[in-house]
Amino acid sequence: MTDDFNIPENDPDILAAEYVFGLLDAETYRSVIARLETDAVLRAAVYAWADRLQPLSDSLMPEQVPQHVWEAIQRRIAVSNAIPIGHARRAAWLRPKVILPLMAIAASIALVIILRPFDRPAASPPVAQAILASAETREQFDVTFSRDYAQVSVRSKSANIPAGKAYELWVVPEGGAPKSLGVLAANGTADRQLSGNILLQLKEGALLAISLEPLGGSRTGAPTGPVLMSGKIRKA
Amino acid sequence: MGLEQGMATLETDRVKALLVACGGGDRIAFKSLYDLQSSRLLAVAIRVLGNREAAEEVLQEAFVTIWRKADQYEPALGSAAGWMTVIVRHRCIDRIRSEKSRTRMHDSEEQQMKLEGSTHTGDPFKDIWVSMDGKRLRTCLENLNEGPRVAMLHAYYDGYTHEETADRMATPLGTIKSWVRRSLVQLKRCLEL
Repeated sequence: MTDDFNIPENDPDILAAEYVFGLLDAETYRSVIARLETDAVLRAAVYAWADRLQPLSDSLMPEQVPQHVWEAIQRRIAVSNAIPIGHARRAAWLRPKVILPLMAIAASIALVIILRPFDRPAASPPVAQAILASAETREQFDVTFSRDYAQVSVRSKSANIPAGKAYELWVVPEGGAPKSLGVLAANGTADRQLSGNILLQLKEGALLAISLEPLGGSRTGAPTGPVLMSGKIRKA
Repeated sequence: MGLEQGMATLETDRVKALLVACGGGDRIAFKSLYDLQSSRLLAVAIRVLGNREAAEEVLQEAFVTIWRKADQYEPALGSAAGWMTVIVRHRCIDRIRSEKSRTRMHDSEEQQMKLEGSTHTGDPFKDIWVSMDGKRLRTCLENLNEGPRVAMLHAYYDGYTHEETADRMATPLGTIKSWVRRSLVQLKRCLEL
């Protein structure tokens, strides 16, 4: 290697490459995400690097995907958001005045055909629940488990998550390290599929806790901020 | 354009069109996109995480993200496959870093075996990149010195941070950072020739 690589510290092209590789620390990663919204040069550089490196991924032998993966995706899309986020924003023409006459003709035919295979019944009966509340912050979070603990949902009418922070839900095994059940959305909700060893920890009497974490959740795999509230799992 | 290349271009255009359709809320397109891309993306996740169960969970999360963010994809700037691969890899890296001790400990043996399987070459990734279709990228990787190339490929294939690569290669952190940055510059120059 020679010394003819005069790489400016903030070279957008190298920043884009490091972003695509996943080499950035959490803070820089978030700043790049924010910058991508408005910086067309950086955005183009990210796309270019993604394509330059694509042969590295294409060289891997494809793996058979089990059917349950698609079923879980369908459920999550049906529960969390029926349409892409931006679609609602873009589709200004989908106003009642315009769409209702079209719906009258098309809905009974097309929508039924299109949606039926995808929109499975969203709600399964809960098997267990927990209430986590804090007298100090005056917040309450209702946690519900369904599908034999394979689905966790969190709802709150009083969530007041500080700006720039996140709440993360944990199960705390007796004598063991807390295991994350996921980061709550800014409005205090979460819907997550669970699988693997974590299911062994979820049972009646198990302790759940919510901790205060950086945006995106703990980067260490363990709670890094204060535990704000906790509660035990009870049978529904 | 040969038949094979023509077919590949058609496939690329189809994936692009499907992703754009997803951005408009087309669920049929989403299912087709999943059918075309999920096997490839699962292979990426398994490679990075070294754990099939975790990779299947990440694939789920990634496709939910792909559906929800499809309207942000800009087809004029790059391929749909590249855009989706970035989402899957970033999901894998998030997972590794949020469950670092558990995942790395759990997989260390498997990762080690994976690496030892081809250490006779000195480059544990050689079996992968010498057989890939991207001839241009292959040539450019060959032009890199072995140390910097391996450091860069650890980041790509294993989701390693600079620190982890430094540990794995028993090389000072500053050297690894410098190697990776220089490799990226050299790679870009080579690919643009």
